[in-house]
Amino acid sequence: MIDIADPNIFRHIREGDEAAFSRLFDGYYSSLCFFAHKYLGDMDLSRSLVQQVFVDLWVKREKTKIIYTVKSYLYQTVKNRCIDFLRKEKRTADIPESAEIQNQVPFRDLVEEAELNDRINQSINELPEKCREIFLLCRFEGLKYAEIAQKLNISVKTVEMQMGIALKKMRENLSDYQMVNLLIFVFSKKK
Amino acid sequence: MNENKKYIDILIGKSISGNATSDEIKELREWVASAENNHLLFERSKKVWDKGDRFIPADAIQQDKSRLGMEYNRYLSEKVKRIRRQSFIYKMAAILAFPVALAIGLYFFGAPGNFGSVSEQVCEVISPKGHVAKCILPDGTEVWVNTGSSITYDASGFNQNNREVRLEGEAYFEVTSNKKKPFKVITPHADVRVTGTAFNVVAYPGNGIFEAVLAEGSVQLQLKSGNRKDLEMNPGQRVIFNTTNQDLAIQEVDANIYTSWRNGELLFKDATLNDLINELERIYDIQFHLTPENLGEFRFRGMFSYNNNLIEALEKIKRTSGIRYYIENKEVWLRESN
Repeated sequence: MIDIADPNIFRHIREGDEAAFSRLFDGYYSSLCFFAHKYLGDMDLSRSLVQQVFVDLWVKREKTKIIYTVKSYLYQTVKNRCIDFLRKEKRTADIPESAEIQNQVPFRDLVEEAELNDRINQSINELPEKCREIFLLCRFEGLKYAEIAQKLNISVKTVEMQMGIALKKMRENLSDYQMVNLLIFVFSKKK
Repeated sequence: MNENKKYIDILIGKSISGNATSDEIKELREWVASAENNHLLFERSKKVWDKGDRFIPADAIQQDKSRLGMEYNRYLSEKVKRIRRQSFIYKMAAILAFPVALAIGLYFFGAPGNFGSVSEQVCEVISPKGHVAKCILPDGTEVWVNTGSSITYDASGFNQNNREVRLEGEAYFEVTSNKKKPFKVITPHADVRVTGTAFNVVAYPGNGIFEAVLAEGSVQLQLKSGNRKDLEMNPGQRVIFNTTNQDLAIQEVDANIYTSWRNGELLFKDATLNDLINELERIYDIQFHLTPENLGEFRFRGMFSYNNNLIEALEKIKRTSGIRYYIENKEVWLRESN
């Protein structure tokens, strides 16, 4: 099994290795969606744009030249497509303010933010079901504890507990991640 | 101690999500200020909240993944080289309402659970008025679908046991050779069975006429009425079967004339103006008016060909016959010049 961090992954993909391509998708898809969202400000749109990038990559796998890493290729391609999209939109509608702002934020920072969002996304998805449901209602539906309790027919106390657990688990995941990142940073410096 | 930790977690959650009372906020602040570690823990919790401002559920990611397979299959089965016919009369929509190809993601990523249950997935390729669509079937067979026509096939079963395509209207097939799995074109009046060849089939619903022209290879015709035996066709033959009076005619023809439409080109040989007009009306979705009415009987000598452009066609008519034209919206008036 080839890992997505393997520099040879694209060679496998070029040779038609579907399993390698599948892993590339698992490794980058959601991050790229969060990244595209920074330009487009629309999640559905971002998702279909990134899907298209993957389809095109597979279709043109034999002709695609990866100069640095697959990762930088993917982010750069998504960025270009987003900008193209916005350029076309500009003629018909007002360009979202987000895009103007994003132009001033360094590319690297946007990638990092997207990866962080993805990491958190993964943590949310890994939460126990009930815990996740409560967290989602609170974070993304903007419901108050009392409203969540009512909606799910549970006590406010349970909501409080579960929210505490959710945040605890997620921040622990995050610190592991930062630790790993730090190690990678240290080792790559040594090289 | 453990209880205390839990209590702090609850406080952090309340505070970050905006559910804390002012007393609770005060209490948390004191706790945060009391140790560097506490401060770090709070900051990290806040980061989780702030930086995770978008969410994609895990199952949605999996769905998107299986969509990739479908998109790729669609790309394969369409590879649409649309041959756009440009017309002066109306602006062509740039985007074709193209096949709702419910083709399967199986090819790509194996069967995702939610697709495995669908037993038949019908793929339809429709050519809207004014366009010729070209698509490539899963077995590599190329099909040109004439304007206003459509083909359908079962995307999941195609090329498994057999190769069957239903046709409404006109299409030209270049079938990849596979003796084990004969290719079959099904129309209401007759079926065409082949193993690998190029041929044109016309079967518009409503008029009861079935037509096939063989360009190369060999095909078998199974006529569905009139108790006839299967018919073997040879290259350069044109079969016209009229289901209303059971008339069957076999002609030796120049196959090019019947298959040139797929290149956005029409060829006519010794055709009348009526023949030409019928074709142009179908292609461009327009209507002709003739004065006098018997103008349509005008016969063009030799070959009449034109490429892609209605105005070019009308100019050619004008040059060879002196018939003048006038266009308004989707209507064309033809008048004999005095």
